[in-house]
Amino acid sequence: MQTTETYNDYIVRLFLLAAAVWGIVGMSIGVLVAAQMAWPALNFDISWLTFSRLRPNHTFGVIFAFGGSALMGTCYYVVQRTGHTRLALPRLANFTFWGWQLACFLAMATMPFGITQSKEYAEPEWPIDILIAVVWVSFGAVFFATLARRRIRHIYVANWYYGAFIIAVALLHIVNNLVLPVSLTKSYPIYSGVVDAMVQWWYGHNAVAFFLTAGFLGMMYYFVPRQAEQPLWSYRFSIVNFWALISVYMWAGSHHLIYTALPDWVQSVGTVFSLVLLMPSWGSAANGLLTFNGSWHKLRTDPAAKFMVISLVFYGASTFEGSMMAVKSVNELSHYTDWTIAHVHSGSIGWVAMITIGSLYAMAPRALGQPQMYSRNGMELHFWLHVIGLLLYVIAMWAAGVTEGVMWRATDANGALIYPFINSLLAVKPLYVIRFGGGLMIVAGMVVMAWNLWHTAADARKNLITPIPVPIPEPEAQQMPPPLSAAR
Amino acid sequence: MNPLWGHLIGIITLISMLSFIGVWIWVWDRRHLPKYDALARLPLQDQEEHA
Repeated sequence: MQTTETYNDYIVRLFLLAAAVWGIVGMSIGVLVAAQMAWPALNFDISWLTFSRLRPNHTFGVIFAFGGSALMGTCYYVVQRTGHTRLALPRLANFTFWGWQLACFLAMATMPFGITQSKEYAEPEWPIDILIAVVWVSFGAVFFATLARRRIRHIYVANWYYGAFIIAVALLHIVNNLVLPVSLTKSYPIYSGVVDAMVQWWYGHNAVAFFLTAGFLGMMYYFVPRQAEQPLWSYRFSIVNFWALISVYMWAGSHHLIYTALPDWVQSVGTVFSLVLLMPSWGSAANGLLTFNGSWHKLRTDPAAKFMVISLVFYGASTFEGSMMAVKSVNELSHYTDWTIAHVHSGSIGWVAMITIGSLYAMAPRALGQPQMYSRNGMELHFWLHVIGLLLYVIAMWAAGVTEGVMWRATDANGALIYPFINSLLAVKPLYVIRFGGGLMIVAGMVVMAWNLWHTAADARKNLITPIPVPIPEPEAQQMPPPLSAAR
Repeated sequence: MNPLWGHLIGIITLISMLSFIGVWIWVWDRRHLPKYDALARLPLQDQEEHA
């Protein structure tokens, strides 16, 4: 059916640009703090350059600024394509872009100066939290209003994941940031003691669950079949995995507090749910990988597909590792060591960043009015820089973590510690240098991606892009919601 | 701990198991198959339109 309606890819392009910029910013700060771990003098005795002040800027920059921009951009792209409709509420959609960028900028401009709630992954103070909440609710309004005007009866599974991501993150953000402000830059949480710790890790773990997993699974369920040029391996299995994932993840947060003052049974609940989580995690990883059946040859020629396949392998590997680390006897060795850092980075650089980069490479040419990316060799170079950097990073940190765990627990026949703490620091220092090298390669890859996107966006910068018309399917019998008119 | 908690935990476990098995039975119902087959191909349309 002919239509005058076109997709709103302008907002997608804005988020694409923001993701490329924040990716470089967030990861560069990561490289700086990694260098400070190896060579502490690099903080130059300047308070706002110290590790403790910059580390939240790295985590906020990569998770919320880079990951958030990529998630919102792809979400707007996917909900339009899978609903055969233009994005609803365009002004509000523009507000979500500028509001999100402002919130990220404000957070990263205040945290180095000590303006922080000191809650991991929820550091920004209350005025920024309010801005984030307003932007997030607006994001939800645009997404669900677009779903409501879809022309396909069933809601595609990627949108279920994006929807869960939007609802859960709003809930988590608001509950964990309930505070009593005492000034514009200082507040105190309404929770105290171990309850505060539990609320924080209910939030912290579910930020991983719903921001860093559900949202990126939404990306995966759309862009993997699209790039593999194969139908999703099992749509039925994707639905089972969705319901299993969202039912189980919320209960696993207490595994962050094993061997703390938290009641033992609550710790055990976290362990049990973490083990159950293996099923939906591996289910989605398998569903994504098996979608490549019949298209494995693409790995020889398509760097975006390579990013996606390796990301799914790392998704399977890091979720297995996470479940194992939640077992108390393993946690005894791993807790407070660099093994945790290895785990979180195999998940974030391996799974999250790689599915994001693969999806951006898949989406960018279409959103930028080009048949393909400007440089395939650039994509290839990015892939190898990223994968080698990732392997250097996680292998170094696994080795460092086990070294620390073993040295800290070593006792002599009288029960006295064998190694002074400083010995463990000296033992892992070479591994910190290797980690820095790996991080440097990953940032170099992001610079290559930004260069490639810049050239692919040549027509977009000159406003030469022709908007893409929305294909309008023939209405089904008794379609719900009722079909929209083609003329709007 | 009051033994009632044990009963409650047992009932919740049973409901969770039944819901999980119920979701499997529901999605494997053959009447959904044509719809799911069409949906599994939905992401390919973006490429087809482009081609």
